[in-house]
Amino acid sequence: MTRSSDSLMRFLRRLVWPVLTGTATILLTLVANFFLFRFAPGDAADLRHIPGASAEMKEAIRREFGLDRPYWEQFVKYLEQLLHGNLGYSYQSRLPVSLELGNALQNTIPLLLIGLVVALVIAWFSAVIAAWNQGRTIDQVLRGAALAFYAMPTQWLGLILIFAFTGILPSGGMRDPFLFSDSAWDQAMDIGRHMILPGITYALAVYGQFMVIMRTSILQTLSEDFIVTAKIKGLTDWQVMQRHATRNALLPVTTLLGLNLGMLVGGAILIEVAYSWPGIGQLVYHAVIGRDYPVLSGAFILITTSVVVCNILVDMIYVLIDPRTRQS
Amino acid sequence: MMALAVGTPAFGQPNNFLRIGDGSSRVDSINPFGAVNGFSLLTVRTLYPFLVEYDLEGRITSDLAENYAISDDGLTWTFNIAAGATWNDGTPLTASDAEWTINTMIAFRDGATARFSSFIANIVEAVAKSDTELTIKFAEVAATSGDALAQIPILPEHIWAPIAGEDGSGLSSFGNTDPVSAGPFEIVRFTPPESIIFKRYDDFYGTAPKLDGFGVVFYSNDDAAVNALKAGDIDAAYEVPATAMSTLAGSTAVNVVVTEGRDTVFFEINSRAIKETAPELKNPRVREAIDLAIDKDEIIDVVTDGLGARSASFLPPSAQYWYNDELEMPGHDVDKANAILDELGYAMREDGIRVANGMPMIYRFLYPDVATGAPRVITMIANMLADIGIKVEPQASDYPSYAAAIFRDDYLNFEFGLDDFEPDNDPNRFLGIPTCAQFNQANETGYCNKEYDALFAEQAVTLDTQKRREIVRELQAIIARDRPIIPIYAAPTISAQRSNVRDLPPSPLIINHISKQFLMNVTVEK
Repeated sequence: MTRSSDSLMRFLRRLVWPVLTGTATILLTLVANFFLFRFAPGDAADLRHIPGASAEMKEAIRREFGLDRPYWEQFVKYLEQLLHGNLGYSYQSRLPVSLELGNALQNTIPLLLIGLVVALVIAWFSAVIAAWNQGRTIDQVLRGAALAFYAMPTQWLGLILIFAFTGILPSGGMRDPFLFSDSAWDQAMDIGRHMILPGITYALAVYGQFMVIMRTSILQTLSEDFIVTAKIKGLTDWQVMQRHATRNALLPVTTLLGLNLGMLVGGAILIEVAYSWPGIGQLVYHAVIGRDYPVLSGAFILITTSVVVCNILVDMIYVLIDPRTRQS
Repeated sequence: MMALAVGTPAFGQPNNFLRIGDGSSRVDSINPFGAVNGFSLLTVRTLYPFLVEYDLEGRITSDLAENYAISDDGLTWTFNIAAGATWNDGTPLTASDAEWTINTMIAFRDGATARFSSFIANIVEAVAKSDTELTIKFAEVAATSGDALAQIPILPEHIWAPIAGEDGSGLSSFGNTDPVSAGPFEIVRFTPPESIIFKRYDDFYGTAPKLDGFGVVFYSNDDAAVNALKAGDIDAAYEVPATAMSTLAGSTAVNVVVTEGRDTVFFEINSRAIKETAPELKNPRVREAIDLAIDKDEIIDVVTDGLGARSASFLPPSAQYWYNDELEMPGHDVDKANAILDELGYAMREDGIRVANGMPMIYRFLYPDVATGAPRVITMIANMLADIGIKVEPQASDYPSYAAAIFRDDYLNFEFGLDDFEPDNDPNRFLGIPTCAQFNQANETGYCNKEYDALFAEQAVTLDTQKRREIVRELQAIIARDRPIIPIYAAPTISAQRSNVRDLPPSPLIINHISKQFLMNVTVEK
């Protein structure tokens, strides 16, 4: 067997265990999903003060959603639906859960992805500057700012930005519902304007964790023996920082990034509430309030699968970017 | 690719368009069999014809039916439907649609159409004699027949009948995202949960509205809605909190409208007869003491900035004709309250808590976190009861958890509760709250009084309005005497609109979903 095929076999063997454990995690989640929500008191028939509500209506709702059946019967039906790829229908909107989740995901992912990219850029620059100036005032200011934003209540930060930019940027929503234009460009620009404040809020809320880890990793790398060798060889400080320190700083960030990416599909409920952004977070919140079991189950399956898949991907990427892991 | 809003070439850029914002609600469904909250009901009211509806003065008036006659025995109502009416897909709207709708609701009242079961409960059948003549036969004469008919939307048979299915289940599972309608407005775009846009339906059977269209955008919080109003992104905002009034007061471009509202906050005392723990709470004098200890005026000042209204009855003063203004308004007298409890022998411990029947007067106080005024009202009531030696343990939860806790084990797991209710134009449903039939429904106290139930049934079939009013007053007096419910205050309905909005009437309801007439004369100046 050649060396390259040896490496491939090792790589595949490395992949098997995470895939197996990931699959088991998803299956366990499918089961836990069912019982977890039903442990909460009340159900979808406990609707508040509906005009003309009657005992017949409450019982009819329970029958319609199968909530009057024994738990085991509901569970079997739930598994049957999942086996057919059917996530069911929302109790509240009567729309397919897949449609509800799809719409909400389309709203959430772009916002949080852009916010994450902005967060990484802010984190990278501030980590490099802070590490470069370790111990100096600028280092302390940058670290303090990162931790302050990280600790700040996200919805409070959002409200402050809304008030600060009233009249300059939209104060909420994903788009102007009263924009009656067919132009895709107009609509895209409109969504883009609405995305600025929530995107910045998300970026400020999460960049701190990346910045701190990056800075620490850069400093650790700068203390390694090979850095001394690099300097002896004639590399400037900036070249050392660029070619060696920051690259190695990416390794721990990769893991953190993977976790954040996996959780992206869960939305950012605080951001979505502050900015009235119609994403997954809001969908899940309203589903909890309304005991909308199908939506809750679908959302949690989605989030779990996303986290598991992203973790597996991170493992694979780690092997590719860190040669040391291939030899273990 | 991100979902983009769909443009509507046929709509263009309207001139006279009302933009409404709300920070506390959304449209959950525009299927009439699933619509339960205020804006959903407003949508159904706007899209679909009703045989009759309420005018802005709270009187039953014609809608799809131009007029109607009632037989001598009061059991058969004959409606003359507007001739030449059409659905917005061009199909004629006739009495057959009304016949199909009502008979279908009757057929599946225990299933898919249970949402309307209380409104069609007294209807035997509907018969379309011709395209423009409809008769409805009632089982018995009732004072609430007009109100019931005003709640039943007429649906297009050619759309809904094919999807109903043999058991009617298709009716309630239908998404109805592109509705065929015949109301004064039709849907242009529904983007849940963000917004809903309507345009004028030019072939409406009634008088055309002045607006070209209107839209409602839903924010996640009240601050965002108020901000949007100030910035000019919307023309009117509903459910404006009292705390936002100061930020709007200084603006010349915005007018704040405060209306005496109907949403009434209740303090509830467990009145389940079989409950054995805390028997002292069944004593009318203890309830009187509790009533005296709660300073409703202070609560109104603090929670509603003085804009709320006191009520001597559990029906709020905004119910006007039906409100019993002869009831004595309970006062606030902590000394008298303490004297009552002293007389009853409930001694005060050193820790300030009284002992009754060998047990400290410490009680569970449940409330849903969405209750009007919560949690400030809870905190204030807790402090006020502490002044008379009663300690409460407030427990907040979302509404389904609250309902489950209240009704669990036949009402035996709590002593006090707090919630809010909003009466309709006809007081029947509101008066039904403390009846035995509303156990595990609207009755959150377990109160069951045969005298009350008998009078409640009597007022429902009393056609003479004056006589009915006397019975309704008597019902309020019974509740004021027995105190299963202590009214704390009627919340104000606060809305705000920009100064270029004309003829948008205030509504005593949080959202006016019982009459589309509030939209008909509105104009928005450029």
